[in-house]
Amino acid sequence: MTGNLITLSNTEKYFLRLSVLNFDDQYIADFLSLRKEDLSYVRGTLKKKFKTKDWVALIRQAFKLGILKKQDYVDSTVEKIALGYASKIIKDFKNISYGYKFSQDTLLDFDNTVTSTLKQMIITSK
Amino acid sequence: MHTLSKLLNDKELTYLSLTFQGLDKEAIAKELQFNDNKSKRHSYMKNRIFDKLSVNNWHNAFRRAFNLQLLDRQDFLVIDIQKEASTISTKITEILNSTEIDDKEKELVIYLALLSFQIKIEYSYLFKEKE
Repeated sequence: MTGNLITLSNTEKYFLRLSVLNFDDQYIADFLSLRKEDLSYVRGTLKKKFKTKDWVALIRQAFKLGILKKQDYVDSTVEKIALGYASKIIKDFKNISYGYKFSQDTLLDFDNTVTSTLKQMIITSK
Repeated sequence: MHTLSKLLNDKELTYLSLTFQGLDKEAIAKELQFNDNKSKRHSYMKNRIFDKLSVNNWHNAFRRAFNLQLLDRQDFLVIDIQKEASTISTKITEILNSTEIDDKEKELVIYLALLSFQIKIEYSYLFKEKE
C-alpha cells in the first residue's frame, strides 16, 4: 500500500532503532557522528514523515510498518528463559515415545516465569 | 538500588498511568492539580520518571513499568492469554510430533514459538493490539 509507505534515511532508521534500544542522545549522536543538537532535527524529520508529534505513536507506527521488528527488541532475559523452556520441552518429549501432547500449562508457566523474573530485575543506570 | 514499592511515588505513578492511557497534558494537569508552572511541572514529572526507570523515552518507560508491574498488564491486555496458549500449544504439539525435522530444529522452532507467544502478549498491552 503506497499510502503507508514511509521512506527513512539511514540516519533516521538508526536513530529510531537506537532510541528504542534505550540509548541516550549523547550515545546516539556519537554513533551517528552528529552533534547532540542535530538530533532534534532528526527527531523533527521523523515526526514529519510519520505525521505525528507523539513519539510513542510514532514508534508504534514504525513497528506496524515493519520499520522496527518486534523480535529485535526482546529482552535478553526472556530469550534465556525461552531457551531453557525449549530445551526442557524437547527433553520431556523424548521421554515419551508415542502420542505426546504438549500441555498449554507449560506455556502459562513460561509466561509466569518471564513476568516474575522481569519484575525482579534491578534497574541499572542509564 | 530502588525498592520497587517506593520506586515511583503516587503522583509519578498516576502521571505515568494517565500518560499511557493517552490523556493530554491539559487533562493530566487537571487530574494532578497542577495549578501553576504547568509546563515546568510536566517536564519535572517526565524527567523524574525517566530517571527513576532509567529510560530515555516514553515507549521504554511504559515497557519498563509493565515489566516491573508498576502498570498492571491485566488492565490493558486485549488478547486472551489462555486462548493464545491453546493455539500455540497445538502448534508445538505438531512440531514435536513431526517426522520431517530433527530434534535440534524442533528445539529452535519451539524457542521461536515461545518468543512469539511472549511478544504477542507484550505488544497486546503495550500497543493495545490484537495482532
